[in-house]
Amino acid sequence: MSQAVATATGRPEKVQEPALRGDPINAGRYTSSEYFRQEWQRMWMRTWQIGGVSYQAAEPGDYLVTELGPESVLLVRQQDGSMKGFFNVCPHRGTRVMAGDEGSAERFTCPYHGWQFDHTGVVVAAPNADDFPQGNPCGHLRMKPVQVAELFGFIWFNMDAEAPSLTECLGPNVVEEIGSYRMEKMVRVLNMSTQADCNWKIITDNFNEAYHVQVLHPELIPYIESQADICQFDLLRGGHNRGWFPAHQPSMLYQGESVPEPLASMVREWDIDPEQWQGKNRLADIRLEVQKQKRRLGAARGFAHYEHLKDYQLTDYIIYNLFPNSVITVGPDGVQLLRPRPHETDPQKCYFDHWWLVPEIEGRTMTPSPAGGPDLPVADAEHEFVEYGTKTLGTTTDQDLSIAAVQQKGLSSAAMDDFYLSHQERRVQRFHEVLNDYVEGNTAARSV
Amino acid sequence: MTDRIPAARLERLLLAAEVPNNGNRAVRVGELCLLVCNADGQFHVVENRCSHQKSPLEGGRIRRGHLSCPLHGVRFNLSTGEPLGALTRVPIRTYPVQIIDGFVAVELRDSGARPTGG
Ligand code: FES
Ligand code: FES
Ligand SMILES: [Fe+2]
Repeated sequence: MSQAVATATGRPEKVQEPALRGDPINAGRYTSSEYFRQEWQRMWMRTWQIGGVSYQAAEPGDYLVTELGPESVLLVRQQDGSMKGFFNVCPHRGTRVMAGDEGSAERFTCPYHGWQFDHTGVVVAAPNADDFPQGNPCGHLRMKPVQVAELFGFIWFNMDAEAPSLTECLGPNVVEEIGSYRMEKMVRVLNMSTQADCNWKIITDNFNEAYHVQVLHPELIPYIESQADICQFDLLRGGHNRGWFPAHQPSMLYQGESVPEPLASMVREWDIDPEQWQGKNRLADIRLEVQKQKRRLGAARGFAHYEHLKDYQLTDYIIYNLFPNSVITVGPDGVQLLRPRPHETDPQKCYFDHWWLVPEIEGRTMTPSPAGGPDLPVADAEHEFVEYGTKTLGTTTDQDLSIAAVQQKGLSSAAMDDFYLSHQERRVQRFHEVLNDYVEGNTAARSV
Repeated sequence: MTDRIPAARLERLLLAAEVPNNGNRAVRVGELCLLVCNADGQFHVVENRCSHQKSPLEGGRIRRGHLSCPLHGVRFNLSTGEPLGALTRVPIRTYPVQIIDGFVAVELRDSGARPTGG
């Protein structure tokens, strides 16, 4: 039933996918310290990462500090409004210069011997500055710069000064499609992290396929489609990919005749009577009706951002897996970042971040939480580190993370052969092939 | 109850209206150096001295109920005084605040030498 709906009502444009080589994917890349080291030097040190939300550093001198693996990066708003970034490392004897995660400073002062740096990262004062036989460090020593860009309301950095620009890496379609959500006007209402007992790629792989959804997340069946023959998956240039999940309609796996919860409540909010949409054929059109109603009523109800969205974007979820680890899921009412980050030293551990950003809508002070639990205030949220298992990170996230540790254990087994992937898991295959291109130094291939 | 605990007195520090939103002002009371903070309309009073290297906290940026030390960036929770970040585990002293006739006031004992809170 839903097949017709999906094709009839618009979806992201299908792109020509790059051919897969069929590189074997073996367990060593999830467990080996040697692979972890190579991956760090050849891939992490060369790819774009989200450092924070632009408004965290709104005024000149505002800064934020972000951690990636063994590195710490300091991102600073300049007098002219641009951003600069540096390795958060003192050139004197290596101490991390700023210890807090965000703030404002006229100068950055190293806590060890008190060297001071200006907003461009250059040493401007040092105690006993004339005592250095190789010359006064002021004016020429500096914290090493990283590349910085701002896009989608985020501050991004790349530790490789030679890397192509962020927009070049993402390509114009991704920039325009995610850009249409106007995330720079959103506020981050959830900001959680945890540590997981798995390699970071176990989490990335999980977001690169929807094959597990019917098993792990059956609660999505009433209102989101995840079956591969209806959804659309696209391998994009540069190792990124996109998954389109039509929503505000039941999955083809749904057996009933009436509008199930929570879909019934969702459509009532748009003045649609679920009683009128009973039966398989009617159900198949309810998503279109929601789009129509949102177009008709959205602006008057303060949903100003709908104006920039295409019809399918008013109901559907689209996941953008931006290589290597920035997973941005866009929906009509907000945007999620679900992101694994590598551990400092241990290939069998990683960090996991969950952000939820929503547009500010007049008269709305609270918004539903994607982490389950009570509604969240529409206000900039303080960062919360959650010990895994002590508190929910969101129903689907908990379900995904429940698998991560047991998969990691199995990958350490002598019995594990190469992966045996389905066609609908080809985004996993592609991700590992691009990772191989980085690790093997095959620069030409990875940008295809 | 016993005569070893001196009577508390309410010390009016300054008018709440004098502290801009997410701003702070230092106030001296005898030996004490206090910092009055306005965190999104919520007033807090803390010791104006970082628990890391004793730098004054005045001028530190306030966001989401936390104050960043201007020197090395340790962030302190203004309600509890607890620090975030790797440099120190030592909280700063906090003082229970009352608003009286538009003034930010704290309860002090011992002629201002010893606070009740924290
Ligand atoms: S290590 Fe930074 S001043 Fe010495
Ligand atoms: S003196 Fe405040 S953080 Fe070091
Ligand atoms: Fe999942």
